[in-house]
Amino acid sequence: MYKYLNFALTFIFLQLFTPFGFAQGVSMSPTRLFFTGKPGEVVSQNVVMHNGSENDYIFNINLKDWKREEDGTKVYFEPGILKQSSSAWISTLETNINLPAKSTQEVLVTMRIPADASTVEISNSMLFFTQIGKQKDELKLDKGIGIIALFEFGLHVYYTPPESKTISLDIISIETLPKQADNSQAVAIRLFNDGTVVNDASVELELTNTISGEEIKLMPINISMMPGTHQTITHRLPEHLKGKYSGVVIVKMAGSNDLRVGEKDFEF
Amino acid sequence: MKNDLIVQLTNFQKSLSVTIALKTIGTRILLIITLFLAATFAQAQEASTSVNINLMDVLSIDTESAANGGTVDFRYETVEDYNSQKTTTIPKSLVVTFSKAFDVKVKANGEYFINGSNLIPINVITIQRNQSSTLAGRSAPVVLSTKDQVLVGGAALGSKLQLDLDYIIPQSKSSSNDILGKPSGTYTQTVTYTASAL
Repeated sequence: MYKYLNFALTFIFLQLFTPFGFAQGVSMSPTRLFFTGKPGEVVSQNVVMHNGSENDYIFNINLKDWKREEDGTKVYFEPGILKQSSSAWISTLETNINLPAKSTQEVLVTMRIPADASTVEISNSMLFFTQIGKQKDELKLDKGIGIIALFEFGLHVYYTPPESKTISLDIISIETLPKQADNSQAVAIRLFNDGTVVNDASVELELTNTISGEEIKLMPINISMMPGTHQTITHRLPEHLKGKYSGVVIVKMAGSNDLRVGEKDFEF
Repeated sequence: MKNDLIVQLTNFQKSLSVTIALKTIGTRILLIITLFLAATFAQAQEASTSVNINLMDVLSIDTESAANGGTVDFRYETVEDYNSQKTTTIPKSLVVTFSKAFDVKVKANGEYFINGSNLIPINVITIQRNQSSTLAGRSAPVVLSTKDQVLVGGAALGSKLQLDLDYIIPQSKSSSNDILGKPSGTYTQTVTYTASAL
């Protein structure tokens, strides 16, 4: 029995990790760093960069501030511009890292929490690992317009004060949006993060035709929200939806068994 | 001593065989249940070994991605070239494995395509996700600029998700002074694709 269990777990492990950890590419893990500590403390975490390919890479490490607009789009700013920026607190040992073929490297990210750091507000920044082009990344073109394409990883870096632990979201409104020119319809759900930590959640919308009983479950939309911010999630509706529907919005929050449920009747 | 042990063992074996021979069906069922419970208990003991799988989120960009020092070329040689829209589709512009929902942004590293002192503004290029992509999410055509712009937003996690891109120079740009009349040569600029968690 144990042998079977062992085999099954090994199989599941390989299925889970083969595409991720051992891909023939360049990987970064984790993709978000959450620091916590008291004002005045120095805290560190490692980021693992792995190059499973046959090529050597060089990455420049740089920082930016960022905030999320209400539609969920991240907008970047030069470091130190935003009020909730933690860019000035973050450092790495190197500004460039060499990642030779088939190699793994740990990058130590250090946060020096200022003595006067807020004990209630979250700070955030984004650490970028930007591929630096090499001599061979040249155009073969002799005449014309050419683009050299490179890639970059963005690593979220958050500072959460030790006392901040409340996971909570509030559904502010559920509204149908005006029909678009192509006749498409959508429902907008506005949320507010009334907790004190970054909240990862999925927002589901289920529609039930009040006459036929037909149920439509739309694909959940994943979101991540900073505390004290609003976000509007837009669920696009299936084409040619017509009739009276009862709508249920379910917000599932990561790290919590709590749900937020909202109801609204629609006529499309 | 040895003989005594042999005698005792023989007697025990005899009494056992008699006992088993006298078992009723009910007793046998009881015996089977006992054995089953014992086996189950043994299995439970074996399975009590804890196996921890710690999943760390990870982002990987495959080296088969064109956005890996790859190039996109547009040639302007004939009158038709200047009077038409040009589209170059690059399959696998980005091949991404991500264990969380994510988005992909694009930015140019400079304001112009450069050929010595001759310049073509980068906004002559529009980039859009081709329908053949397996990397899905919110997407709209992007006029290239030095600002980070969302190419695909809210992409669901997945393995080896393929982003195929159309690079477009509209006819309105080809036939404008931005391109028309520029000295011949190669105009280049670097474009960076950024992948990050939501």
